[in-house]
Amino acid sequence: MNNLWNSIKKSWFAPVDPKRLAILRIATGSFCLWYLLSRFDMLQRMTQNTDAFEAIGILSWMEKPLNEIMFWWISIAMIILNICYILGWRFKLTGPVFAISALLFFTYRNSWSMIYHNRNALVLHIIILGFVAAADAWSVDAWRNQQNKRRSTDAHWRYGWPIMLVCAVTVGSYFLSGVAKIAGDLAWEWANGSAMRSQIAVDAIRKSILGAETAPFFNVIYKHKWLFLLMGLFTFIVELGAPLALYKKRWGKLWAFLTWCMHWGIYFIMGITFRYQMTGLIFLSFFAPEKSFTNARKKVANKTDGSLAPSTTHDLSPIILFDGVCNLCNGWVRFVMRNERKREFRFASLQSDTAEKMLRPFTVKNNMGSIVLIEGDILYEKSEAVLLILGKLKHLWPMLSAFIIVPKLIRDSIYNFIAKHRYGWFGRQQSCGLVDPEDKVRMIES
Amino acid sequence: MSFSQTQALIFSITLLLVTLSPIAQNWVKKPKDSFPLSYYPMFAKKRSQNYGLYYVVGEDTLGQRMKIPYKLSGTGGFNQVRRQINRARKNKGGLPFLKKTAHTISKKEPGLYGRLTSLELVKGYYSLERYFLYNNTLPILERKIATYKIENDEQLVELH
Repeated sequence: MNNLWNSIKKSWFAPVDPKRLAILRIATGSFCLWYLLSRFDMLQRMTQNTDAFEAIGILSWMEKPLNEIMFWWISIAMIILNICYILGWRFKLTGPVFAISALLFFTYRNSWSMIYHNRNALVLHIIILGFVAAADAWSVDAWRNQQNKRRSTDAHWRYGWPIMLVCAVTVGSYFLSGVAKIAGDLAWEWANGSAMRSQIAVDAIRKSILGAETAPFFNVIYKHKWLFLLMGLFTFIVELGAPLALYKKRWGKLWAFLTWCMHWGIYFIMGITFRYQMTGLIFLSFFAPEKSFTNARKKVANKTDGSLAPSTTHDLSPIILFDGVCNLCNGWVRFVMRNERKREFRFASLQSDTAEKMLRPFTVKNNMGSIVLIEGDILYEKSEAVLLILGKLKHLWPMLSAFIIVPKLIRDSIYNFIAKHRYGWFGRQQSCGLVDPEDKVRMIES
Repeated sequence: MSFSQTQALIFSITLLLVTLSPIAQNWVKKPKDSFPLSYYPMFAKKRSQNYGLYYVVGEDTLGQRMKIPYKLSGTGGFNQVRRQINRARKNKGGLPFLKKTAHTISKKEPGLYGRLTSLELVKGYYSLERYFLYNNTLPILERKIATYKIENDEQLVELH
């Protein structure tokens, strides 16, 4: 028993990169903001239909809806709070306030004759994320803390448990849905597909009669009863088997993928768009999305390799390796030198022996086509190197490092395009162009 | 916000229990759904081969009948409007609802409004198999709930 408890505790409090929690904050916040902006007019119109008001949940005590002007201002305040939540600005205050506001706002929105179950998970996720340290990375607060060196942003259990809780709440809602099917009138008829077939037909006839858009594939599959048997079984496995997703990370990923497929299936067959689910945002917590922004690209030096250049082993200040004959690269290095906060960077041209020695312990080829940033034992290339360097400059330049959230494929494609044409557009020199005595002091090449 | 491990455990267990608590609704006499704590009752109801639903039908000057799309009958999304139509009969037999629908049509579709002579709130029963497998889209039965007549600003009202 003790072992079980310890293993649960160990997985619940596993150290996790704060960036993962930050991604969940940005993802939930962005989805919510999209909703608020895209549905703004519809929501204002909806609340004018006071006859349809029937308060539910935490707002059950309300007898009358709010007046239109007040709701308009509340909607605006929600949008502002939502932006603060995404940016992670004064998150200790704005996080919980936004979480509670989202709960109230969406409960109010669902108090107009219909409960939209596809917002449940979003609100529960925001409630969790708003109350935890979800702004310790990729946020205004994190940037401020970095400036003041107040808090380290290494992997920590404080970032792990909220993610586990988000996963558990997600899994719990699907499990509840499965239980409702068994406990309802249909019970195990769901598993043989007949119940699903009639449910889908009812949904389709409603849409057909009331003039809504019907599902793209409904007519194709309705006549094939055996397909519903398979889909019924699949739904049961996904919903009732949901708790297994918490047992192992791999199972969690598989479950998330299958459930995501189920939602796309629902769309094709019933035309119901569960946007939070179909975009995959609800399942982000089962993956390590931060790795597609950083870890996947950083290359760690082989510490057993004795060929590290002395300059990297004794001095941990970051080193920028650049194409010394490229005018664009030389201009970039001068720009960095002028805008550094602490004159911490050192530089070497990729053509130098020093660069060759430095690159040897890393699994990268010196192809002159990429700027390189070495921090301690970690090497960054291309767009990631540029964005991380920008993050260490003064004035407003660090704000550009937020582009790290753009997928690597897109960022590096742009980088490669510019790199390919850099000589043609900006010209080249015969030897390293940094000849100013002031510049040379910062160079570490032999 | 900083939590100790004990506080984090309490927070986690509480939130999980609260999230799962609607499960009890499956076994109570009159279950009640809520937000964001739901027991997800959708698709759990038994459906027969014939299905009845409420909708609005308009009749034009030539006596042709047409179903009025949900977007002209209420506010909000599809399912929200469907529920508003279902509940319409509970308020004075559905007449205020039809009046409101007529007003919406006059604003959004003035051309259509000009041709309409009346609006009816009906409940139609359809065979699912016939409707989808044999393209027979006629109702087995259509019961009138209320009629709202549109005649030169003179509105005659008939309750069934």
